[in-house]
Order: sequence, then C-alpha cells, then structure tokens
Amino acid sequence: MSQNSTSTVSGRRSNATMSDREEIERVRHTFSSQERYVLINLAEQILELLGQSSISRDPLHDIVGISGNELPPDDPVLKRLLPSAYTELQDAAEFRRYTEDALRDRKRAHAGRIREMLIDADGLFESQSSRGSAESGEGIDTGMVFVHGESEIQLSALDMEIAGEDLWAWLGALNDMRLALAVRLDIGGPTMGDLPNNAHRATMTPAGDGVTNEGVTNEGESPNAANSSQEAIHRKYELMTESDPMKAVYAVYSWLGWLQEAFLKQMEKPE
Amino acid sequence: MPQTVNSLGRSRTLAPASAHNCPVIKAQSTLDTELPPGLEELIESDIRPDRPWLCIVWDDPVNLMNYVTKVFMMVFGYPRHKATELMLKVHTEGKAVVSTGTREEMERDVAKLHEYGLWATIQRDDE
Repeated sequence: MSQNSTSTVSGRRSNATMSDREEIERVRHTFSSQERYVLINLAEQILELLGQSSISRDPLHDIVGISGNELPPDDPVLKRLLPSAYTELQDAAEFRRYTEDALRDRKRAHAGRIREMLIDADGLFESQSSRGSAESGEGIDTGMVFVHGESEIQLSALDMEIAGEDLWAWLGALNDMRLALAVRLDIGGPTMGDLPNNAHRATMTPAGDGVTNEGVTNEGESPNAANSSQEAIHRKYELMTESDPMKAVYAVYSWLGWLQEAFLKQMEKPE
Repeated sequence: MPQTVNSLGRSRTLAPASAHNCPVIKAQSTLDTELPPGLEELIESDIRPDRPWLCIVWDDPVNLMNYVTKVFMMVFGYPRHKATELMLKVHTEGKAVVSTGTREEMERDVAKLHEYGLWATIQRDDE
C-alpha cells in the first residue's frame, strides 16, 4: 500500500495504518494474450457503463461536482456498482446526489488503470495514454479501435508486477467486473428494497468460488455453511451446454475470482 | 430502523455532526480544576460518546471473503485478526457494524467501501 492511497483513507485513522504497512504490497502474474484481451475488454465495458449518465445532466451540476442523480440507476449492473448508502430513501437520495459522480470517477479510474497497464506494457498505447486517455471518454473510443480493429493488434503473453496503488486499482476493478457479471449471471444481486429482510439469503464467496483449478483451494477460514449456494450456482453453469453463452460468462466470472484470490494470496505476508 | 430516528437525522446530511461534545469541554474549561473529587470522572462517564452513527456492511454472494477482509484492513487500518472477525460476522450474521463515528465520518467510510465494491450503508445508532 502506497502512502498515497493510505492518505485517502479517512484522516482519523491514517496515522495508525501507515506505520502498519510501510512495505509496499506487490504481486506478480503472467497474463496470457487471451487473458489480456478479456481484461481489456471488460475494463472498457465498465468504463463505458460508468460513463453513461443515469439522467439528463444539468451543466451547472457538473461545475459544482453534484451529479443531480437522486434515484439509484435503472440498469441493474449500475445499481450494484453504485449502491445506496442509506436504507431510508430521502437520505439515500441526498447522499447520492452529492457523491455518485465521485464514485463513478474513482471506479472508472480503477478500470482505466487496468486497461492502460495491459495495453501499455508493449508500448503500443504510448501516444494515447500520454494524453490521459484512460480516464477520458475519447480515449475509450480510440482504444476500442486499437484493440478490436482489424486484428492488427497482437497481444502477447505478459509477465507483470503490480504494486501499491495500482494493486488496489486492480483489486477494485476486478471486483467491479465480478459484480457486473454476477448481475448478468443472476448470482444474488441484492437490491436495496430487499435489504433488511432478505440480507441473509446472500452468502459471501469463499476462496476462488470453489473453483479448484491451478492450485487454488478453499482454505481454513471459510465457515462450513458457506458453500452450498455457491456450489448450486457452480453446478448450474457446469451443466450448461457449451453452446450456451452464459456458460462462457460464468467461466470468465470464475476466472476473475480466481485471479483476485491469487493476488490476495500473494499479498498475505506473515505478520 | 424506526422512521422517527431517520427523520431526526435527515436535515443533517453532510453537515458536521460533532456539536454534541461542546458542553463537556465548556464545563471543564470554565470550572477549571475546581471540580469536587470524582465529579470529573462522573461527568465523563455519563456523557454519551459522540459516536451516534454506524457503518454497516451487508453480506454479498459475490465478494470473496479474503477480499472483504483485505478491504477492511486497508480502509480502516484494522489488524488482520479484527478484519477477519468482522468479515466472518458479515458472512454468518448477514451484516456487521464495521465502524462508528460521526455521520460525516461514516459517509466517508461508506464511500470508500462502495469504491471497492462492498455493500455498505449508514444508519444512526439506535441504542
């Protein structure tokens, strides 16, 4: 964890946290060309989705940094990525109005960073990234052409080290991708309306979604009851025919979980 | 959470919520050290701490358990054992209070948790 991102944590605790984590956390991973392609593609989808405004905008709001949105987005994925902060509607609306834009920007910055690092590694994207494309709308369009265009781009396998602030951008963006795919896969996307009564239906996912490939196994701290609903979901997609597009989506979802878990394992240093 | 509590809090969104403490400070400074023995402690123990707001994280079927633990460590600076304990509470009980403080502080915490994809809400401490 870099000092930089620690300082964004609320001030009252930053002193305590900084001394605990002087060493910058880092992970290393080799991405196949296909994995790079998938991640770049997903990052672009997140960027595009978060770039869409939920309502028509008042230019005055942009100037003062207020989104003007009071209601949760209609799109179920956006609703999951930009949840309400209060169960009470009026408080939730007011909070959203003042903060939703900033939340969108931070999530876009995470996804933009992933995309930039995966593309930039070959020096392919230098000219675009130097003018800050990762966070601007025009950059995405350029990138789409760049990546998807006429197969002139050959993404090779890439061994990458990710550290400090970048690592948290990766973790956050990978999580956003998982949340987005989970909504499409109908994996327990909670809605605020359900909140007080049905929260118990949800079950946090133990390590690796129960995916056992590549040496990731469920370990210690997950309670016994954790797996049943996850296993049911896993079975459902396992049983799908190969031609079902949702099966491929589930495979990507599982792989993202595996990747995130692999990063977290590498970050776990003995205390 | 009862409606009455909500309606009390409504007008205070994004405003500093720390006026609570002032009488204590005033009493101590004007009376200086003239307080009878024991009274100062009595006053301090009798004052409700100015921590009437809670940040709650709800269980979610997508977020990895190790990830949630790590986010608690990063956002709050909690040691691993405390972060793990909170994560397990969320997991087994469906939700957990992960921090308490002023409304402003809780809104900062929730914004950070939302940034990293956790499902968090703010509410007034009912107790």
